[in-house]
Amino acid sequence: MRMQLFKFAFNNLKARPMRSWLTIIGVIIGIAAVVTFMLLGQGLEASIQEQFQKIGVNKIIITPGKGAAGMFGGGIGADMFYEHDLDVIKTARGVEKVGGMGYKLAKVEFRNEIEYTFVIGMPEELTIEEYGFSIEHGRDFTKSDKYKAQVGYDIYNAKFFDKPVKVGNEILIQGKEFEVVGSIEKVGNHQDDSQVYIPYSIYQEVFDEEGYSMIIAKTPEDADTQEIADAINEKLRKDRNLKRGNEDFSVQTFEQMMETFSTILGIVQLVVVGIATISLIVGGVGIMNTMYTSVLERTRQIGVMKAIGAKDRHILTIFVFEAGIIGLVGGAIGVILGTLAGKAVELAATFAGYEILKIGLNLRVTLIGLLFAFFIGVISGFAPARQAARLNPVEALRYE
Amino acid sequence: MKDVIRLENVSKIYKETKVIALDNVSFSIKQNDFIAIMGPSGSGKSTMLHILGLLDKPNKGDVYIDEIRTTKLSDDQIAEIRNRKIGFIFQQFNLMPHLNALDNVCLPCLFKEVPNHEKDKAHELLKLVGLGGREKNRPGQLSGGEQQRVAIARALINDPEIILADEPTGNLDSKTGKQIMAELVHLHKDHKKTVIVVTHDPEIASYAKRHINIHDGKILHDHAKSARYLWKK
Repeated sequence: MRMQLFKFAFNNLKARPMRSWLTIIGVIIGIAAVVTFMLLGQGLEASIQEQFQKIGVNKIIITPGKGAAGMFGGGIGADMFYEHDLDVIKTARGVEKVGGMGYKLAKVEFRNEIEYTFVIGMPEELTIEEYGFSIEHGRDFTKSDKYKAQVGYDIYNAKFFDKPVKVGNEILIQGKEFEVVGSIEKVGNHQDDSQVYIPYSIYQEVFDEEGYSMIIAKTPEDADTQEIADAINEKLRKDRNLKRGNEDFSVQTFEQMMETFSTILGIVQLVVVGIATISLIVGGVGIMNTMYTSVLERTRQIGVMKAIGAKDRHILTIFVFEAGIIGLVGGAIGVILGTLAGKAVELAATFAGYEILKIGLNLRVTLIGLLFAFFIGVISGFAPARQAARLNPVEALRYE
Repeated sequence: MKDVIRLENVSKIYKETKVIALDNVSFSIKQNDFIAIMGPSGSGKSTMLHILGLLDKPNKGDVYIDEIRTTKLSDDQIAEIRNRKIGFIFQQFNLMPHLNALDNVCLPCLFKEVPNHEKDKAHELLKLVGLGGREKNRPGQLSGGEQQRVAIARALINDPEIILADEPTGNLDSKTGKQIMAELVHLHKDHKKTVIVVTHDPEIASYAKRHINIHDGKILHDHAKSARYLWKK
């Protein structure tokens, strides 16, 4: 009997295709928006985690300045670390290796073509692998390397300069000649993949810099990085005579940075999905409107159905089914369109050089989308359906 | 013969307008009777139809269907009695416009707790009312007379004892009207249904064995037809 009522409800919707589809479109837009933003959020979070994982979890980053601001703004016009700080950090329990580094936006020239990109002064105490990168072509720096450079994946593959920069080529950094000795494997975003890496001592010469804008401390595999980070914090504080909470530097593990990113991303996602939900509510109001119109229009039919033996709950079921079907169909199409839209954003990002987003059909998001759509339908349809169910048969039959 | 329907001291007063639509009415209808309920508009005839069809409840008195006192039943129980024991035929046919003839005939089965072979039965009933082969036609593709035949088939799908027709020929020309009435006579004679026709048209009423005239909410006349020749129509 349920099945028959369902079929009946479905036929009722088919009898008014225009109105049904317009209402469904309202749901589609809402669900598609929610699904797209959820997928983007998840894809972004997954890719950020993957990138952090790639760069390495056995590392602690020490930057001048405070907290998250240090993470983003460290080294740019802020305080610097000096040789002494490296020595202090080395004494912290659990620290394997320590290296200072820095980065600056600089003019890079290759065969008379001038571009601007970040030049990274790499810590000489750590190998490229220890830093978290892999060499794709050529070799790592050696102690005796002076004006040698590594280039990012995009530079090597002609996605930065018009011509590819190969191992053995010469490039100019701030007007000084460097020989390219290696290239770094693809990281996945255009900015990181178009950076130039040089040994830190040369970096200091080129940019006339005394200290370090960032310090990397390497920890042993499987070590509790948080514990080591606390130890570093304490050593530095004692050295600088600072009280806990008054640090003029920040010590962060990758887990912390990941958490910070996740938190920020979570908030952004909440806001965006929240806004998308508003359009879904509008879709729900559309369903309600359609169903109320439908009840009014079919008052007489409801009267007839009651006369020939329909109970209140039969009428209720028919109308709730109709609203639920609108929700489900809208949800299914919305999930498909939302996933496609997410995929399109991924392709657009890849096209722009950011191969970091991985978006695909996500079972959880699909289920959430479908259930959400169904419930919006049922909830929006319930009040009109109850009104239909409670109609007095005599009055309904008399309705013109 | 048992009473299919019995009204005991039934009164219906509309609270808003204070109109007394039925005033202490009592009568009973025996099985396999053919009754015309007549009266001018405003006489209480429509209210009588609603009370007999269990669409409305009286303020006072009791309505018995098959000796069941319906006035104390719940809405769901009453709906079930309407579904199983009463077949409605309306002046405006009241078919579902988007369903074909077959599905329209099956409509009451939607509300039955235990479905049976209703499709086969619907086919048979459409044949019975002379619409074999028109199963897939929608109401819009059928003439008025044909639509009313579909409605008759719908009224019969659950094999009810009582056929309750409200001005069944009101929207039809006189020739088609006669055919529809012949159909009701056929149901009465050959299928032993109790037929109740509510009408203001004496010509239609003349098909019935018994006339009940209502005026100002009271039964004015209630008499079995003496003129047997009318029944020969």
